[in-house]
Amino acid sequence: MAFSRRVFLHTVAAGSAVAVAGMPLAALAATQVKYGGSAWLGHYPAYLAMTEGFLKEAGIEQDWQSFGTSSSRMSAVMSGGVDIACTGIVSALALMARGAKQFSVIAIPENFGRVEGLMVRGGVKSIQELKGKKVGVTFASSAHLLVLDLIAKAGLKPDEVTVLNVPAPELPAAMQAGQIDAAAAWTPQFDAIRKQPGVTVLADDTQFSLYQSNKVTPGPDVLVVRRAFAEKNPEAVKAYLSAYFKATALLRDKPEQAAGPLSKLTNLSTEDQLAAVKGADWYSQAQQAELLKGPYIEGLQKLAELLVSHKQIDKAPTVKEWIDTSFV
Amino acid sequence: MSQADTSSMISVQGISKHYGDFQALQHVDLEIAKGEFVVLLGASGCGKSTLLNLVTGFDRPTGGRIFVNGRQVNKVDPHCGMVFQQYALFPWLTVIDNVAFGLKMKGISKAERHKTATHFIEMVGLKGFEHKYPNALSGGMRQRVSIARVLANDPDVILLDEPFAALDAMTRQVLQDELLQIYEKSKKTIIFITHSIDEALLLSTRMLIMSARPGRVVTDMVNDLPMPRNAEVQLSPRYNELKSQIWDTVQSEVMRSLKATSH
Amino acid sequence: MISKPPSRSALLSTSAASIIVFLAVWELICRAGWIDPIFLPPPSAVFAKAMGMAGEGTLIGNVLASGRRVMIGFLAATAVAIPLGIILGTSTYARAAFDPILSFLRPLPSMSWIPLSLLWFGITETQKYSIVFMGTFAPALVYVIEATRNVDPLLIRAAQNLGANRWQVMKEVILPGSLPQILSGMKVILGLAWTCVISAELVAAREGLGFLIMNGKEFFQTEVVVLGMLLISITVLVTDFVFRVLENRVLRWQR
Repeated sequence: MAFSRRVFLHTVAAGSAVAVAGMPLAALAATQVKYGGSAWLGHYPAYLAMTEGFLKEAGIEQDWQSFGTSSSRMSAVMSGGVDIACTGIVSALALMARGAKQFSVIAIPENFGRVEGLMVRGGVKSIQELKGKKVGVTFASSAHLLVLDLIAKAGLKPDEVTVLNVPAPELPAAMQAGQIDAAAAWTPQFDAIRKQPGVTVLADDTQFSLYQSNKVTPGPDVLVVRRAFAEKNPEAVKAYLSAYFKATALLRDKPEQAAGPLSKLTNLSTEDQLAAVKGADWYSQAQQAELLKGPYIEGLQKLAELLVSHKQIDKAPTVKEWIDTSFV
Repeated sequence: MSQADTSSMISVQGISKHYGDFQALQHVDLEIAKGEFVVLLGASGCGKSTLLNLVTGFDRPTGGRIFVNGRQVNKVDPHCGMVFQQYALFPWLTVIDNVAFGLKMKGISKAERHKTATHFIEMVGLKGFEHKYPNALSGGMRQRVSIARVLANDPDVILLDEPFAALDAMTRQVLQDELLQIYEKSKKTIIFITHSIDEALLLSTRMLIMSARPGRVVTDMVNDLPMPRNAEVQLSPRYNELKSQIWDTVQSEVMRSLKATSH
Repeated sequence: MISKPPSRSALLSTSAASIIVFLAVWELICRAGWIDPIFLPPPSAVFAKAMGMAGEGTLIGNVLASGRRVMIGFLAATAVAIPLGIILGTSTYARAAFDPILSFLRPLPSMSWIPLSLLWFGITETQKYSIVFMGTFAPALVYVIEATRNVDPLLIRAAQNLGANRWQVMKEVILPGSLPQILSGMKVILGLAWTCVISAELVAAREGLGFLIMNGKEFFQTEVVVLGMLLISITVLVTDFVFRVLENRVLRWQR
């Protein structure tokens, strides 16, 4: 049978229409979001939201980029290489103190009190006994502030204890080799070190002075977004957050289900991974409104002042000015 | 003869030397007695420097043996003091330290070797320059330091490889005179290389003319011109006679070497 | 027409003027608000920070801490490289034996030695010295070997002719003869030592210019970072100058 040209063209047109209709809507509308992460617990929601498909459903294509330090992650936010990231408050406060307006705080993911702490060797029973000893901690981190706070609370002067700057990945080896007498770290190094023979946890974040008053740990996590990105894609940020909090709900309600995919990120055993997930209080979207306005932010302000008193930053910024509740 | 002739200072026996395909010396036999001033004369590339290097021990012969003062040469020996055309002074040492160098190597104390060095510095007419560095000296002065340095070491033989070729005519004349005076005073055995016939006639007691490569001794003649070789001697008929004798030999050797290299 | 060459004071004034112009432009750009101070602080901020640190007494401490690490590592490396280099330069057998080790060591940047050095020396000053040593030893050795082989062979012959044995030739001829080239190579190596110290201070340091820069970066105190960089440049220039004075004394004979 001879095809007439007309019939041919009609068939092609019909075929294309079917093909177009068949394409999933999401793929057509997907927004690219660059996320700055690491193996730290604060990134669990973003990671889970990616592996469990929550982000895809919300029309987000997440590009995961790993950063070893908060400062490098925040530098990437400043320069536009990262759009959304969970970061330890210290780097964010340092930038706020410099008046950097390139980012906003849009959510508080979790509260962790028991996955960061100070560990000691050799049967040391109190902070006072650390006098004259070497403590290894990554400078400019939450663990660093914890150490400074614990030393001050114990009535010791800052130079009575030798505090050395050791990058987080090097801490377990340094502790094992006996090069330091104590180490302050967060998960996963926290888990690795406390398992070493002869090592005990002397104190964790719950002993932090502000925790006891405002439930603020030395370096709480905040979720930040790059303002330029948010201004261009406000709907995408809202969609991101709804997927994000689906993940926190999973972490809170079904930790066993979350542990499996997460161990691919952290390389922890399922047992340790489960303990890590359970070690934090995962906040929900509904809780954000209260968190982002009230006493928690006051607690963050006090934290900024504490950093100033320990000479970590020059002046305390007005934290409120960076909080943006419009996306939750 | 295959044994060392103990009356000779230097005994060169059947020496040959080649570098790969290139034959520098072939069957060189000669005896040099103590106190002779022997001049090796010849065109460039005829192996004069090679022979000198074999005598000092800088190089090993491919065949044959060399004896200096009864001992066979198989390594570098300070008993043959070499004066180089390029002076080879140690630029970081003062004149006096340069001259005293050989003595320092022998382990002689500083006071003693400086005393000896000063003596020879004066002998070559450089009194007052003991604490200067070589780069502050002219070419002629540097060569004098070089000679003093060799003399201070008290070698049995002094070897000079075209030592004055780089100097201007007037300086050369002065140094030639000085060298003759040192020779007369010290009675050292001297081997001197040059390609100037006049220089050979002026300085030598014996002249060896070497052929183009492969190098051999073509002519061995005694220089019976009287000492001192002043202007009168240099203008005498005997001088011209010797000169024309040598000239012809040297000329033909130069021609041969040019022919050899042209194809 | 032949023009007079510029006088030394004229050249110095030109350099000084160029520095002043550069600083003025930099300050103006920052004041005009075209650049966020986090990305580039004005010279006035850097200066103010320097004064603040000087007042606290921490400024000199950081310079000296890094300076000490550089000096000890550098001196240790040259103390080994010079004699070893002379031996390797003179003996072809020794060179053949050592060549594979040298080829392995030479391309390794000082940072790659950090993990091993931490295991061997722990968190100590020795560990820092070792980083500077490992970063400078191989290049220094290469310089010395080159310098040794460039000594005029005629001088070696002359020395042998004057009765020097193998060791005397090395000590009395090759060492002084290669010294000019060794010294100019060492100036380069000293600069290299400073880059090593920066990577050494990444781990387990509490003071030093590298630490200053890293710490400043963590807290986004860019003027501290710039100050640290400036101090490094100034210190290197000063040591360069001292080196040159030393060179002129030791190599008096060259003039």
